Amino acid sequence: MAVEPDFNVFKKLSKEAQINWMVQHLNQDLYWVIRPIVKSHADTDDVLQNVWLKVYKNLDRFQYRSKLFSWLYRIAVNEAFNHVKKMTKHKNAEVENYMLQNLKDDNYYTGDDISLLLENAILQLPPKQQEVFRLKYFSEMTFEEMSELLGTSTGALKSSYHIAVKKIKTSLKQF
Amino acid sequence: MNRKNDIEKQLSQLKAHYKVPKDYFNNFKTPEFKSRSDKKHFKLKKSWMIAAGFLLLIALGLEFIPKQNSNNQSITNTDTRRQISQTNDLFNDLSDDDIINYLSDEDPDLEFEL
Repeated sequence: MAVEPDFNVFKKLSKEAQINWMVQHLNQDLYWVIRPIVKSHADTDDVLQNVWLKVYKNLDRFQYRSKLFSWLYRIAVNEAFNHVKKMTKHKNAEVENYMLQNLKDDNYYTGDDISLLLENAILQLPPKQQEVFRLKYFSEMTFEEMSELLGTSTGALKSSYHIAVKKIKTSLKQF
Repeated sequence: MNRKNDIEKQLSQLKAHYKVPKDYFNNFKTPEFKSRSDKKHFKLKKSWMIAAGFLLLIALGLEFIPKQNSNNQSITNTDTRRQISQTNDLFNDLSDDDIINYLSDEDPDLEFEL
């Protein structure tokens, strides 16, 4: 799970210092929140820049009631999905097809055909199950950490994960 | 069960296929944020420009709003000039005595020295 600042100290820092702390400690975690959604490195970089702009603009509105990373996570996920929506609208493509194509075209993706089949199977899952996959395999979170981040019980998350694995298994049987 | 483990093994390798350029995180630069003071300065400048624009519009509006005479009729500068010119023409045709008589009829208390 991402590191959290000591709010008593963090609150007293200037806005620029707060941003610097976040970039230094949380940039990589945010990158791995965005990348599995938008798929390509270049798009991830664009979205990440937008996320930091949004954070800078809205930092005054952070209430210090939740964890800092939970707040950043929501901003990053929203920005990433907005980007995908914008791109699919622009290219008049289906979301899943666009994401898969974006992955295939990415110079920084080295997966083989089997990996692409797996990616495609994950893209067919409902959004909540996809999120559990992203958090487990890209953000490398435990179910307890996911539960804290998403405000869902660990039981519900585990069940969601196992149903998703079953679906993927069925989906891959066709090949 | 083996198949499920196989899938989970493959899933655990998903991230490994996503590469990141060397030193990307070390060289990562955030976009340049405009400081609040810059913004304030810009806002201040903008509000001055808007105020100046309004003043200019008001001045132009005043120039073009038709003036009203006592009978609530609009008079413009051109109308006024025309009226003065007509009055002048009228008086040019009159002798001094005619003028005195005319004005005395208008106000009997007036005294003239010619």
